[in-house]
Amino acid sequence: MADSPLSESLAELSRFFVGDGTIEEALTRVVNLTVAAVAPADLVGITMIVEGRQRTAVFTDELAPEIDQAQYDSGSGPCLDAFRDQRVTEITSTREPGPWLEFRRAAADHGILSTISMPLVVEKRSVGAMNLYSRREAAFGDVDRANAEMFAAQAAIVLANAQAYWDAHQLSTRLAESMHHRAIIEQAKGMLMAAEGIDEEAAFDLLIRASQRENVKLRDIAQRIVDAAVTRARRPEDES
Amino acid sequence: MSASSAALRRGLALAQWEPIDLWRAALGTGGHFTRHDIEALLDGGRAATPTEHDILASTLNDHFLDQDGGHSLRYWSELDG
Repeated sequence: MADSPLSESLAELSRFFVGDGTIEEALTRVVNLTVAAVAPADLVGITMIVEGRQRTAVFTDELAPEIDQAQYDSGSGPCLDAFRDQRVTEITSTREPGPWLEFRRAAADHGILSTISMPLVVEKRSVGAMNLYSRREAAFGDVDRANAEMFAAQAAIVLANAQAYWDAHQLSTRLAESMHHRAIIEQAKGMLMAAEGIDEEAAFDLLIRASQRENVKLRDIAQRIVDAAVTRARRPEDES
Repeated sequence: MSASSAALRRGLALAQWEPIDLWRAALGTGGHFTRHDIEALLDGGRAATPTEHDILASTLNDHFLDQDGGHSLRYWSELDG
């Protein structure tokens, strides 16, 4: 196959490693590859849920979120329908009357005359919508539509993989933090056991009583005990 | 349901945590819980020992202190019954 912008972009997508950056950086790469792959598209953006609200999280041009705001404000638009109903939506001319009036007006005011929105679906679950905007009327033909659908399918997988990668990354980071806290608590318990001649459960009980009494986190109480022991151990050297 | 299970479930709801969140956070406090252990202790399928209850209560209380400090879960010796 010749190296068309589409095949180059898909090849680039297949080499994609989401661990290279943040989710936002990963998605920005996806939309940049899309605008290169589908010739009539002048702008591309992705609608997704961020902090409980729909927004255009990434885009190739700042016009995209400006236009999309009309549909977020009105609660009606082709991207929202593509996202919610998991179907392709299209406007062949934003200057003509039809559904999503507020969005049509905002798009036309920004020089966008036709649009196509692709649902991003992974395992029957909608994760977003990819929106392709053109400055020409009826810009997207059957081939463009088919290419955009194929690209959106790839992008959805990248999105899902990125989310899974970062979920796993976040979990491993939190587990590492937990293990660090646990180590401090174990050290403090050991010191109390040695100093007081008590068993492990009694040492833990002393820690929680101190935490309650002082209204300080247990791990901070433990840290104090460890720090104090280290300070005491170093003092003879400092004085010599 | 035991007083321990009821207290831990109440703490979980206040923290807006799922059982997996408590399991992960409790790893940082102590004990040798599996995720299944946490679920069993929460739904009363297994009774907590005093130390197990105190580890989970302390985990939740540290979380509350990390937030606004507005909640406090009872330790074993303070539970009714």
